[in-house]
Amino acid sequence: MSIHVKLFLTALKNLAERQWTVRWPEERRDYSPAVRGFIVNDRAVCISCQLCEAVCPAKAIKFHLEQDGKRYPGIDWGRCILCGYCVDACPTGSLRHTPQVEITWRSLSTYKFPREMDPDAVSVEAGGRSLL
Amino acid sequence: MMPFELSSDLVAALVFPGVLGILGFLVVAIWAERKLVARIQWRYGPLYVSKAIGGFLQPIADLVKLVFSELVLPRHTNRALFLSTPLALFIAEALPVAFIAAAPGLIIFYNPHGLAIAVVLWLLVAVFLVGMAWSEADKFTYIGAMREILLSAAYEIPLLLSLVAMLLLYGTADPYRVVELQNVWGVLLNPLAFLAFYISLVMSTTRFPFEIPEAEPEVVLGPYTEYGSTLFILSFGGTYVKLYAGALLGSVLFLGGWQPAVDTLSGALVTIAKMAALAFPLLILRAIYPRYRIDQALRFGWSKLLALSIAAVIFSIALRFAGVI
Repeated sequence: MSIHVKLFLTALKNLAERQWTVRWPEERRDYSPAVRGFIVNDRAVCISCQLCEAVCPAKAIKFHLEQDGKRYPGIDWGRCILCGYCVDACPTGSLRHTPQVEITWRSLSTYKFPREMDPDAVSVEAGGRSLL
Repeated sequence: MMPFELSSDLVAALVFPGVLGILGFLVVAIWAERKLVARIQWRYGPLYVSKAIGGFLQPIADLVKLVFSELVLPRHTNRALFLSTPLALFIAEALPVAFIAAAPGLIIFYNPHGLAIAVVLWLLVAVFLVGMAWSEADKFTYIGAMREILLSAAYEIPLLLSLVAMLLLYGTADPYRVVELQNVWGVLLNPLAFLAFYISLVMSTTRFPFEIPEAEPEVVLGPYTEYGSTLFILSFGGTYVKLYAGALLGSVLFLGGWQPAVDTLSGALVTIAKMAALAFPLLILRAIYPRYRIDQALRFGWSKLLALSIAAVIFSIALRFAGVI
């Protein structure tokens, strides 16, 4: 019941709002913590099964060989539509969404297949705010 | 000299709650729905026609465009049925309005059991809708008609029970007497019945969480798929007419009708305000909810909604025995 009240209140709040744009990056929109945001990979859990590559409808995921001899997924963020199929398909739960939805890069070379998709090394240049 | 006396039932039939009210509601509701939903989703909504008044003329422009567009008659259908069923549907959806009083003296047909007749007529509409879909002879309309039958199985009994609860509580179905009895509004007397009625209203007008028969990504427009031109206005505009009849019935049964006004004109204005208050949440539902699956809607209708409406009937009987009314 409370979720319906919350939905209606959100709708009425949007209805009353006069300004629809925000002065990004000083202001930010509120997103649900369950939002499908930037996808990270936990390399300790990843088994390189390539299911994520197979289900990706935008063909945004490609696997690349790392120095430890394993293959890891890399995401082309120019193609990714944040549909979350790869996260659903992942058998070990190593791929997961973060609440980070403002995914921007300063140069073309860094957004395409960034090698650092693991949580420790990732840096999303979203308005100068790093992800983790 | 005027050739005939302008009697009050003629005014009711032509102005409010009759023809002018229905057509006005059609235009205002379609515009308001598009505009409100757009505002909620951070869009502008219709703006191309009459930008200065927020695109208010857009639905009228759409209606004119539809009237002049070509009417396609599929060869494999029964043409007489294909042409006549939308008209029958539109009339059937508008007919309950005739038995409901919108203000003192403003009623088309007075009958001491008028509200009961209106309820029964309202529930018969699904038959015409299924007949219309059948006469179109098309896969999408067929699926839409099946969904409509299943959905009406889910909402019909709760809707009837919630209205029966109110008629039991008032002890009459007289359209004037019901309003006179509401010193305290019906929604405060029996909130359970109002909740069951409102959810059933959403289902019966196929507003958004239950917009299953005409689900656009799945079955094009469901029972309305084959129609174009004026027949599309009649068939698809019919759902808004149903919403109009439902809002009128709801405002008379639950929101105290034209009270506190006593004369005809101010009474009609009060009723319009109450109908708008009832219809407003239904219009913005499109921006709030996703669509249920048909089995989810059926499960909801046959478990929670049915239990709620039965509880409303029991609550009404208890109130009646306690002598509240």
